[in-house]
Amino acid sequence: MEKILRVEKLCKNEILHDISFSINKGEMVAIMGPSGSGKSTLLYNLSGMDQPTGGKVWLKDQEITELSENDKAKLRLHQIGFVFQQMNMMENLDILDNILLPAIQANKGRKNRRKEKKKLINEAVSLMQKLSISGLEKRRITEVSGGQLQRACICRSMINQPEIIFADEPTGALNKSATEEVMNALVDLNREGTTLLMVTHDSRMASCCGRILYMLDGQLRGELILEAGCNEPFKRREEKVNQWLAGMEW
Amino acid sequence: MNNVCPVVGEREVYAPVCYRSLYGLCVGDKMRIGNEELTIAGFIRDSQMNSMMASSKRFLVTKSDYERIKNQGDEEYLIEFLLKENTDTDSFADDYKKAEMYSNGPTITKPLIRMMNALSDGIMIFVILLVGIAVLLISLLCIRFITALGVEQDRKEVGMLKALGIENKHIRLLFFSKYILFSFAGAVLGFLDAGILKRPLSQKLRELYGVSDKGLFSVATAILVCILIQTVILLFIRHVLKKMEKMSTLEALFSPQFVTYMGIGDAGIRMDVRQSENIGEITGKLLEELGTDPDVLKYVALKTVSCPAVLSDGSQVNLIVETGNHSVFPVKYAEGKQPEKEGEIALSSLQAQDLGLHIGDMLELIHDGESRPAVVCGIYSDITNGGKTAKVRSLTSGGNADDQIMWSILYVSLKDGVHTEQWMKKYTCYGVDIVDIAEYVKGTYGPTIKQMEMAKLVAIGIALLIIMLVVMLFMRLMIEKKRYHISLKKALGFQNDCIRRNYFINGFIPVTAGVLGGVLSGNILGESICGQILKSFGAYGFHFVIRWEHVLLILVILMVTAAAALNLGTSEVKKIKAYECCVRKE
Repeated sequence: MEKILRVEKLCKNEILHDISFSINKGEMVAIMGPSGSGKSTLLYNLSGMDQPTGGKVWLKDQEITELSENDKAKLRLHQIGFVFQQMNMMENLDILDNILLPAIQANKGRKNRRKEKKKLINEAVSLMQKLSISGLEKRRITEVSGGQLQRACICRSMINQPEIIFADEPTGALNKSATEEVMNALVDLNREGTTLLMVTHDSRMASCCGRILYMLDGQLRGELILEAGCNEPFKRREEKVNQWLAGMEW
Repeated sequence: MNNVCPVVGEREVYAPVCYRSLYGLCVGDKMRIGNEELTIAGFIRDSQMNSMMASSKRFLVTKSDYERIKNQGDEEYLIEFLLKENTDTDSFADDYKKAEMYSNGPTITKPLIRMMNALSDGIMIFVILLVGIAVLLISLLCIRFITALGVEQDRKEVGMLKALGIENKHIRLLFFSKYILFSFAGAVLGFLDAGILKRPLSQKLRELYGVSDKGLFSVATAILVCILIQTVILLFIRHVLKKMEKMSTLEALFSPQFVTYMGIGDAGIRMDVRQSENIGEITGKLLEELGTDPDVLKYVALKTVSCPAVLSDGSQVNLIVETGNHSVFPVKYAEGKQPEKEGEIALSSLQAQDLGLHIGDMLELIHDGESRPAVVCGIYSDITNGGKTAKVRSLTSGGNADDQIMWSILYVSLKDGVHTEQWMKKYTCYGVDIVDIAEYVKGTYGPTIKQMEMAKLVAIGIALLIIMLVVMLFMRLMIEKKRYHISLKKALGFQNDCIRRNYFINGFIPVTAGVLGGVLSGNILGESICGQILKSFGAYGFHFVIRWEHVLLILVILMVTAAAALNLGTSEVKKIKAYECCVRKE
């Protein structure tokens, strides 16, 4: 199985200590742990948004830890997608433009930009259809619900066809029904082959994943492997996860 | 020099202080007048002749030394009057002339001395004051940016304080205390800097006019002014914080055309025929010689006579009238034109102001017992001969009787390639004063030009510093305001260079417009403002002589500085982390 992400003895000041794990192509992995355990910091360091103080990270075959800021930015543009807890959309752009933002940046410098832009718009619209938010293209971000906005955020993360998507508490700011919408959207994406690594507090969310990593005090303390393909009844998976978490003193 | 009248000894001389720096004189140097050698024992200040624009200078010697020296040259008498308070000096001067007292020299009055001092040293004081005011205004602008930047950066803390129930006024006081400290430090630094800069900038002023004896008073005044400025600044900061709750003259001096503002035509050489019994004869001989001189390009003789005139209200005045062809080396006219035919008269600005005359007004010139009407056709600046002069083409059809001529001046322009100094030596046998006008301007304005150079460099330095500071602060403020957006863009994969380039271009356009507008309006408005101020001192019709290549150079320097400031300001983008948007929601 092709490894998409490999982490070796990753450290960040006093927050992360010797974190090592890997993720295969097509996996959906959750990182869980109490507040302050370093989950989000881990995600920032894996995506190149922050610089670790020790260890290495590989994205496919490329070691990314020592890359320059500009090269890391290129990585985030072309190979990594990010879904934020607070969505983090631009207020002055409509939904479609927000989704297109990374694509237009990636398209800069190419020939036939007009033609390419049309193509990108079509791709964005297609993504929006997939995530059931068609018709919201011209809406402002304040004119849509939380669930719709987060799904738009997922579209944005997908627009440049990244190798992996990092999601930092994607349902953390959502109500129950919105959480359900986003959860289903992410599961569908994974089914289609998108590799996902998410940080979550939600055991239901984690139950959708094939693997759960548990963090405590900046270290990986445990790993739970769930049956792939969701053949198992969901309720059973959720029970398993809760039991395991209880064992982890969650 | 220490405000004590000097006591000069035998074979000693006290030289005018303005010559000390001009010629690098020291106590002990020897001065030779003809066969007599005197030792410089010290330097003196001369309230009437301090200014380099005063063509005469006085040296102090003993009576016995004077008796020996006086035969080496021509004796001049300086007839001085100390008038009672509120005496009309002009009426007095008129009465003196009417009484036919000795008056074949210039009349120096207080307004003229004031104008000469204003044109030489006053300009520099004005420039320094102007720069000081500009610096203060721009400092207020910088403070606005810095305060706004500080509030942006501390927005989270302010929000937290408000959430905790701290009142606005207490939050404001918190920020205010910080700025009081900065302001105080700035005031101390500024005060010390002023003390350092004061010495070189006021060196010439102190040398010529002495040091004020109000030592403690002037220090107290300076401190008071400093406190006043700080109060203004702090009040402004308070205003800004409250709101945050719910953001070139010098060129003319180098131009040969400047002499035309001094009342001198734009000639190369000037010959003064004065204080002689045979002014007319000598002038005639010189004209003959110049007429056949192959090195001469053009020349003219202008003869000056004293001529009574009657105004329209019947009052009589005495005019110093220069007669001759004024079109050969014309002076610059603030209004109207030179007199070209009989019946026309041009007046100096001080003279016109004095008599209350304007272009088109009539007066009667009385000459050879005849009264001839003359219309005022032009007004010009003149600082020679007391500043009150007039020009006519001629007073009689055949020229002026020699015995009426007070002095005559011949202006000469030489052909290209002729060595001026050597040529001048040919005419020394006539016993006349021959002056290279360019050297004359240099000598008169040299020290002023040096002082202005220093003021200019200081002004340029300050201007560049201000551009650097304002633009950089403004960019930092912009970037701080957009911190969240920049962080988000970075998280989405935008590179530093791309983000910086965007801000750079957005900043460069208004900066370019500002610099262009500033340089152009400075040249246009500045000319108008300086002209008005100099006009109040009697110097009319001043214009900047704009050298566009210099303007272009200044523009380039300013744009480069602005670009550097933009670059520095946008460098803040690099410090913003991509993950900040995850922890900070706008």
